[in-house]
Amino acid sequence: MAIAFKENGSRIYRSGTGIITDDEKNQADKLFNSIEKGMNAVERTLSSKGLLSERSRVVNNALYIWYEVGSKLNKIAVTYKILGTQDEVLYWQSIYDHVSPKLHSGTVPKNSMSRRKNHFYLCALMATYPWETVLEVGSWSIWRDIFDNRHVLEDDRVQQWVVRKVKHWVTNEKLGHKAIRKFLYKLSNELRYMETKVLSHKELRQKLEAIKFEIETS
Amino acid sequence: MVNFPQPINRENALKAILDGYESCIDNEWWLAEAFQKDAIQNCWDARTNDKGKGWRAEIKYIANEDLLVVEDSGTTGLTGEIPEDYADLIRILQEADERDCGTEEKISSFLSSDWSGKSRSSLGSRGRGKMLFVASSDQKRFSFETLQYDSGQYIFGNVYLDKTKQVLNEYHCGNEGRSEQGRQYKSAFMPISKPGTRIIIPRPTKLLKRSLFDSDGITLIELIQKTWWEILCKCNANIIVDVGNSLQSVPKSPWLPVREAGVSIVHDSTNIPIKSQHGLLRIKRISLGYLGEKEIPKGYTGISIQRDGMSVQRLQTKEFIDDIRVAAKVFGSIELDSDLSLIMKNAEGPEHCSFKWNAVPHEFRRSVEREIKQFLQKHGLLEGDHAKVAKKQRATESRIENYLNDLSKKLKLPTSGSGHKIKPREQESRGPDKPLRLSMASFDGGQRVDWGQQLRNAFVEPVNETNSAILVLVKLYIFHGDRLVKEYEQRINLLPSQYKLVGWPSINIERAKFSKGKYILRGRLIALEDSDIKTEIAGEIKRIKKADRIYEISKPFYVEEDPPSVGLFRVERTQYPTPTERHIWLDTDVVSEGYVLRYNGLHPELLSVIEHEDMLFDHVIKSALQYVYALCLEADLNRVKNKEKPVIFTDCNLVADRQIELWKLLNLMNNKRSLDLSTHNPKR
Repeated sequence: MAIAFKENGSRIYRSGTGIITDDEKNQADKLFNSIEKGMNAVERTLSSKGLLSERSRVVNNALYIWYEVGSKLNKIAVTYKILGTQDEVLYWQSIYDHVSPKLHSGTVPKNSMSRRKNHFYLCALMATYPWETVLEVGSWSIWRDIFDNRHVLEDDRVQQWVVRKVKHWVTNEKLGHKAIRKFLYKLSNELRYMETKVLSHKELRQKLEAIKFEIETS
Repeated sequence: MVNFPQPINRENALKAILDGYESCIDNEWWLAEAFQKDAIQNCWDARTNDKGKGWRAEIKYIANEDLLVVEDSGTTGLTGEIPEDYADLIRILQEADERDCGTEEKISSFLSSDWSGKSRSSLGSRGRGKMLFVASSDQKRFSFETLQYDSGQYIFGNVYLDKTKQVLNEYHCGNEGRSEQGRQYKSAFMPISKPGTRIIIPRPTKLLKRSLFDSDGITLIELIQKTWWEILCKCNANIIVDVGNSLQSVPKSPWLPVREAGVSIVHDSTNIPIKSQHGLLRIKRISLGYLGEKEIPKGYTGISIQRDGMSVQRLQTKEFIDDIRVAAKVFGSIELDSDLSLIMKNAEGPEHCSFKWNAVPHEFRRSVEREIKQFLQKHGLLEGDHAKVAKKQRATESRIENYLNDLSKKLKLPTSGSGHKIKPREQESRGPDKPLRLSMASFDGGQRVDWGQQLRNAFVEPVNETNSAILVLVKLYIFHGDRLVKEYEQRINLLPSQYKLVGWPSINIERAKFSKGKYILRGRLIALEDSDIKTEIAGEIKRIKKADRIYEISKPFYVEEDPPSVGLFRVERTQYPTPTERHIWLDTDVVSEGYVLRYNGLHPELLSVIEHEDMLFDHVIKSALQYVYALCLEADLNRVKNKEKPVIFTDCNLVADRQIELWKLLNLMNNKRSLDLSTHNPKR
């Protein structure tokens, strides 16, 4: 399929596969309208709850705001069967065209071209977890740090293990962001020379549990 | 004397006609394609105006009656004098031939075979379509109704194969015709009441029904779009299909015309002259598109030759282009002007699916080939001669650069920006050879590859120099930035001293998949089992465990751009306005603090070698080495001046007298060349 973007007041189409047929343009237009409608609806809801002001979003509710945005984007992506296609990265890039300065101000960040660094992709990734879990992990910045690890993004099992661990330490051990960051840094080093995908679930869990984190040993 | 017409076994003729269509069309839905082509062309030929305003054709299957119906309106109907009997029919046909006005006697042409009254400019002018209708029925018959546009006369009739294997006609006119129609088909439909024609095929054959309704992968609508895209687009032709209890208007084709298909790489040429024995003819338009990564749908491959709004034959592009991968992605159409259209019509086969190419001007195919090649070369999809030569030269320049840069490292040549200060050569960062590693050879053809070319030798070779076998996974990736373009993996039980190539022998660099820029080919060696083998991982010597990334290697390649130079020397071809003035010379590169070795591509001495890679290499290197010699001499002189040991020359060679001799020798060697050593001559 194709993804529509706004450029200089008109609509242009891009596709991960090159050529774009009329049918694909029509589909891209429908998707464009769905994203536009969806983001407008999210912003209206958040504004009506007093979570978004005219000048900027309210900082201490960032987690909820990004969770709502992510959930909406996931629904649209599933409806239009975008996930896993060659156009998926374009989809995440195009979201910047549909949000007001309340959600994103300034130019589109260069690193948003990469899915790993795309803010809206990460919101959507976080929104795949139940809200209770998201809350238990803590702040949006902790989530950002969790996702700032290639292995966490590439291997769902690593991601789920990390989320469980962080949830435990934040909720039960009452550890702060600094300690969590140390854990994530250590994990990143340990996994740097490991290809986790060749391991079975059991093998991977054993390897992860065997890592001596400062948090657990202290 | 006995005198009678020779009997003809029309049943065999019908089979031959069907065989003719099948071999001409050559795909599994040939019968549906032939049927709709003949049916709609009859309807289109009978339109009352050129643009087909008010024209309509409908193909309908009435399941409960098992009838296949083709009906047109906005047409003239089968006009002309209605013959009273066989003799009358012959008379009418002969008179029409004499007057050369067969188009006026449509009903008589319809009731005959191979005596079509259609003008030479109309589509179906052989009469095979009617035989196809007979052959399409299990009962070997079809009915027809027509209301003549001019006289208002109604005719209903049947055409059928009788027991004597002859094709017979029977028909009734006026109210008698209407009554007969009612008797045969009253439950299906009323007699037509507007000028036009209706063809009714009772009990269509299973083969036809399967071809029309059950074809997997292509529908009747798609077949009509493929054949009639031109009239659908230009005339908004109204073609209706009703074969599954739903009436559908055939929409315009999504693929033709090319300019409306949303293809980004397109070409349009108009008024292309064709010289022939018939005088100057013209191709009205050639439209081409390149589809890149996507597949061209079945039925649209090749270039459609259009005649009077109908696609007759598709020329396959692989007939003109050697690179079949590129050829498979090109599609389009050719429209003819009226004179050329007439020539092509005369060369057209009876099934209207092919041409007798020995009757077509040779220049036609040559022109098409020229247009296709120009189109592909313009978009870098096909290497032109110029591009081939340029590629060879770049490869030679790369060789020269690599040679000089290797040499400069060995000779410890300083950078150009250091002046008299010699920069210490950087230590090479080369780790110890690991017993388990990946080896990656150079790409065949250099690090630059252009669209339409192939990247060759994209391999890694896992090496095991231990005493034990180990189960590994070799993964190979191609990245563009952080976008993964291609990947491959292979599990190997890697035995000691086993050598095996993993990867791609060649990768087609298609424009749609590889945009311009830098790519990385990365290989990883991953352990799939715990092992007693120890090796360095993450800077530590440790036992290999499952999932350990034992080794990683990568190499860049560049699409549509040169790789950046990585050594002291860069080689560049220049075109000096006065060809004999400069030959080969060295400039300093202020930015990189290196040197640029330039050669004048127009110099007579270089012109003779420039297209021969080895000769060009030898020629340029000879001059380059003299510069290197001069640079070494200067570097060592500076070292001596700074009370350091010289690297290349001995101390005694560098005393003042001997220096002058060395410079004189160099200048003598370069007497005939414009090798400018004046800046390096210490005497200045």
